[in-house]
Amino acid sequence: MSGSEKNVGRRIAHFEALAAKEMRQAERASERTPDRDEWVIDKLGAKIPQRAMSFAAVRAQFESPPAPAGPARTAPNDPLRLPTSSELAKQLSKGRDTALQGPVVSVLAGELDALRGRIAALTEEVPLQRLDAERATLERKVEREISAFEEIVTRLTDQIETIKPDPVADESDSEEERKKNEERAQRACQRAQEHAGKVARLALDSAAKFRDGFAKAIEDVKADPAYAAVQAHLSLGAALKAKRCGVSFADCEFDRYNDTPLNRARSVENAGQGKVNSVAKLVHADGEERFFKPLTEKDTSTARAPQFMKINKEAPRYGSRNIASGIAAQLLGSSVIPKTCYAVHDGEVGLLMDKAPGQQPVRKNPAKGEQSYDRIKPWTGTLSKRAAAELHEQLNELEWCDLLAGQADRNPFNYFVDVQGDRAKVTGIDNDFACGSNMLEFQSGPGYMKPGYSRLDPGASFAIGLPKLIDKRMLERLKNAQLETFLADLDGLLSPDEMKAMETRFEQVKAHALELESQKLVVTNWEAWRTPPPGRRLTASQFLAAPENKGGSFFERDFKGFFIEDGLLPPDNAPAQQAKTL
Amino acid sequence: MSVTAPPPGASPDPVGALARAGHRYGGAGLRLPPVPPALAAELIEQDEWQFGTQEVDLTDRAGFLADARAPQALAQVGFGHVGHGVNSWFLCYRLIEGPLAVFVRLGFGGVYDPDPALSLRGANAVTAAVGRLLDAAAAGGRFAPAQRLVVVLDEVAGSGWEVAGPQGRAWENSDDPLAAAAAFLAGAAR
Repeated sequence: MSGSEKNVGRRIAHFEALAAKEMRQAERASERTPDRDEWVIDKLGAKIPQRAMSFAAVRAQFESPPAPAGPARTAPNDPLRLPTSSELAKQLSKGRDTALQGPVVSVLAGELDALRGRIAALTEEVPLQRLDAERATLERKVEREISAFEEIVTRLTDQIETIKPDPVADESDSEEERKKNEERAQRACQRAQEHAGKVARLALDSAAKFRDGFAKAIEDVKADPAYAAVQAHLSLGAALKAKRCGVSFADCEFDRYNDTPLNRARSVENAGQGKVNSVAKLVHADGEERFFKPLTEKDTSTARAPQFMKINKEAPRYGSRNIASGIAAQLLGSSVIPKTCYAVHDGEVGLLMDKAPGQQPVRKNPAKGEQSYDRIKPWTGTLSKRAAAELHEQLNELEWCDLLAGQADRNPFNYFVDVQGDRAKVTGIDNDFACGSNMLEFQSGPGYMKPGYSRLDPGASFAIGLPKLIDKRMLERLKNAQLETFLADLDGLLSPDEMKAMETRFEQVKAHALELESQKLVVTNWEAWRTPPPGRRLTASQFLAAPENKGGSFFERDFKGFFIEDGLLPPDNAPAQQAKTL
Repeated sequence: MSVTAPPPGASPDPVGALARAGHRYGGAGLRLPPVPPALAAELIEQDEWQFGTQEVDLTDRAGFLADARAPQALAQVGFGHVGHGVNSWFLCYRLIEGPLAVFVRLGFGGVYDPDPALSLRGANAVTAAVGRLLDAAAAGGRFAPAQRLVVVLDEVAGSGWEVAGPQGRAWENSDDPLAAAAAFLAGAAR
């Protein structure tokens, strides 16, 4: 700020103090209170009229400091990639295997996959630290590969015209049958030619698009504000893939989490089974267990939740959604969403998650044999009142964090409860299905609702409604939360539409919290709290387990049964006095 | 180069899809879920670990129930290992054919599973039980027209069974609906 503007600043402060005095005098005299802003600007303008506008601007700067800067991230761009042959098939014919069969097409599909593999290998050979020195050579090699591919496609395209019909003929066929067979074969031949032409055009378009975008993709990697921090750890190929997955290097902690201090003896590759066997359990120098999941560029599943949430399955950016969920929890002062960041393992970038302590609310009971589907308590013995209170508090926190983040899939397999004596800790994992842009409307009741709000997706029959209670601390955090700071912290993680939805959710979450406050459904002490009069004074457990609140909380959905088992709630349909109350 | 016109009603490489499913499941120690012969001809590999005759969300329980309760539902089968993250993974199976509809969703494969061997045995036991149920239902004669035995084994949202359709049998929660449905079929046969 210039000296003259500092002087203006002092003048503004002087006149604002005068304005406050004027306001008080007007109020005492029961006169119309002048508009403070207008009064101050008017006074300033009278002194230095030609600079009134600049005073307003300077004043605005005093009153509204610039939004705090979050981590420096670059907004994700559309990913640049060559399609696989399967992706081509899906584009053409909804995934049917026959899309890649037949003359020309099968060869072309193979060539496309080979091109992808060769370009990936070229980029993986170039460490970021050597990028500047080797870039020109790399770009020439990539250009040669693409040109060679285009020549092959052109030659194959010429062969399309040579596809001839081959009618199935039998000597015993009548003239009419023979004619029908020929017509059928002719039509099949035409379809095959059209299909091969489409595949060839798609392949050429993809190659051209890749050629045009390759240099820019490299520039996007280098333009990341935290590029210098990751250079030592990645190849260009890994960096390009990270960018395709929406990774900002500001969220990478490669210096801390890489393979150099890895405890290989305690780490486990393929920690899951089936399709999850790509997840590794890693133990770094600090001795803590964490899970590493390599990035996936696309969501090829048929899951409906992402579509419901308007997540682009071509670039779902699930890593960013996990990180954003953690930021939402931080805003609410909660630790129920564990820390996640990006790490590097075996040259690949992936999401690294702290291991959640405790157990899921649903777990097989091994004592009952392999086909048992009992849910067994995530604690041994009976829950103490203190631990039960903490469990309530933590479950409530998870509900509010999920509400703000727009979490669409909090099922009993992706959160954990750890009870140690009188302490209880809840941890929510797998926060992929969150922060969609199509989550703008709440509904107060449990269960399903109008399309567009996938947290209550009709297909997700385990969904709960809006929280029925709010912890006092949570309420105060919401009241005092700074939206601008929150949005700044999320910058670069979500698309503009998703940011807008997050902003809307923030306002709606706050409104719901204030509504609960007006109904005196704010809990300061989960052990001692009772519902406000009139009517029977219910404990938190009784209130949440009441029939009118069915399906309205994680407690009711997942723990009511255990509380009944522990005698902390009466069995359903029994008089309330039967239970030890909490 | 020539191309042969495929005969009418040709299948989209069902042998390949079924073989790949067998390879995938077998490689993980899993039994292949039962695929009725009439539906095997339409099987497609929809994703690396998902197979079916239609593109559906295998975890869509409500969608399954809506279809299963509709008398004119298209016969369909789908199965796979689906999910997201590191632990939200499920082995799913979905069948609607004639008088039987089965939905299975078992937590499986997640990194937090304290006993993967138990989960594997459990999944295989369920697959065997589903196969037996199919055989029992196929014997026929147990249901009136437009009735359908609907069985849901769901570790996420609870299990149960019913007989949908006119003069059917209301939904009943059950910890072991496959056994309950099999007992019902056996009882109905007597």
